[in-house]
Amino acid sequence: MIYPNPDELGAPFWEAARRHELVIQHCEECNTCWHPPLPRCPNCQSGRLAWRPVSGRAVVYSYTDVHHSVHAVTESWMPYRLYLIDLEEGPRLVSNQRNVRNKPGMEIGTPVRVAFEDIGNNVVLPQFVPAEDAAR
Amino acid sequence: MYRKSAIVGIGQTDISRKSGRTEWELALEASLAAIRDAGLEPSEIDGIVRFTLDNVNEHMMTRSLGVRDLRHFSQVGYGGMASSAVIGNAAAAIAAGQASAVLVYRSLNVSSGVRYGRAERVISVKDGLNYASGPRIAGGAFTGPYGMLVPGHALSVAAARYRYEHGLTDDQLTETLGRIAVQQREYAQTNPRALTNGRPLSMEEYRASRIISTPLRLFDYCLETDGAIALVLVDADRARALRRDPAYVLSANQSMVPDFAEPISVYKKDICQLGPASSIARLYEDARIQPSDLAFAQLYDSFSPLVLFHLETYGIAPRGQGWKYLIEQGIGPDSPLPANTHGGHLSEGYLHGMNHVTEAVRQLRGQATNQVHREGPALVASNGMSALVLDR
Repeated sequence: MIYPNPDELGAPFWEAARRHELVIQHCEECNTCWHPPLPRCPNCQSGRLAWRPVSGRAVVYSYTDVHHSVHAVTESWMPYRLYLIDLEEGPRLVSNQRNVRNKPGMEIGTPVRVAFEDIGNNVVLPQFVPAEDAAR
Repeated sequence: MYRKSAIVGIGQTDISRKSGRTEWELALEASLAAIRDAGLEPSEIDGIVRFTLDNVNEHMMTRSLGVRDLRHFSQVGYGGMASSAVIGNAAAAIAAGQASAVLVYRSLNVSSGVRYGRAERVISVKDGLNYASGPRIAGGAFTGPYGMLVPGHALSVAAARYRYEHGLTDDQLTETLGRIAVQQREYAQTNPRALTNGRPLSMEEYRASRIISTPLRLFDYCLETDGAIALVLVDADRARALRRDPAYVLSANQSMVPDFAEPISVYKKDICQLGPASSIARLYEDARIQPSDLAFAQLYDSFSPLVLFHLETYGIAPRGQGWKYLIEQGIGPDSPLPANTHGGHLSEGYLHGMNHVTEAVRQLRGQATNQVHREGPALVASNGMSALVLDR
């Protein structure tokens, strides 16, 4: 696996994921939200920022099925599907599905919801599954 | 800026899979060739503009090239997106009187050395575990854990999004990208500098090539090569004295706005738009031209979809129509706008955008291996973050 090595700015995202919560940075002045995190609001430059839980509802913006491994660590994932996921609240996240040969993937426009995947080393990845699937 | 400076010298090494030489040595060979081509002596170079990413620094060049008094040196970051900007910054330094003869170079062993198509350079290992850090898009803390590791992954999701948004079938997208790859390979067949010279590519072979990451195939990816390339700029008066065919800088831009502030972003609202329309309008306005005046274009093509995205971003084809333009008109010698006439990164070699600038200079001199027989300015565009308009 590849683990995130976040700095102080990004750490709250991963701490929340460990609790199975998806949080996104919000501006307390103008209510804008965005991802990845920034030290100031990109809209009004306020420093009064908060990590707030989001709905976890989203749609697939795009994806690619990766058939060529570019690092030893991903060789056992092949092929894997790499997604761009647009949250209902606006911001976009990356997610994936490993070993997708002969597995149904999610198409662009598919409504999805967040799910959490424990990958060891005390890391939980926010992932996305079809919205109609029962909670896993 | 308008016609205040010109490119008067170009030089390069061979493009190879394994140079067997240091990047420093390659940079020297290309730079000396460019200075000689300009009709200057190394001691006359008083400015250097280079890629931040280059491992060969200006102090290394000053000590080895024969430069005596370097009074302007600067760098541009963002990898290949710097390829037009380094020329623009050299032109700006000349227009401001900060330097009179500026050397621009790029030297890279990215085939035999650190490969940009591999992820080792972005993944760190600690206690036997792999980590992704920082805000970078490919291999950063929020992307790397999911396996988004190299620029090709970002371009693959962009191409897939384009297909969806504009309602293309899989076959229409394959045909669109294939037209780019096959035409550029055809150009390379008459270009002895091209790594793929002597290895033509048919549409059937393109279609049969293996998928790297959907919807992109092997031939949608650029070559990884070793080599160096250099250019020399001087002010317009001196350019006229040095040679009869200077390539004048009509305009140059750099662009950074919040939504486009990450190179190869997967986060911008529209991942198929390379740069903001306002900046590109100003590029043409400063050059005193319309896109329809262009005689040819050299478009940054680390991946084939970028040619499609450049056509739409730079106003050559309407948004969402670039794919039809490519299927119906293409970028060949008889198309409305021949592009990447040297074979580009897909088929000549990967000199990080700078071989697109030298090809524009060869075209304007009338010395290109696929000479475009029409008068008019050239567009050199580097992924929406920098661009140039050049003319005789």
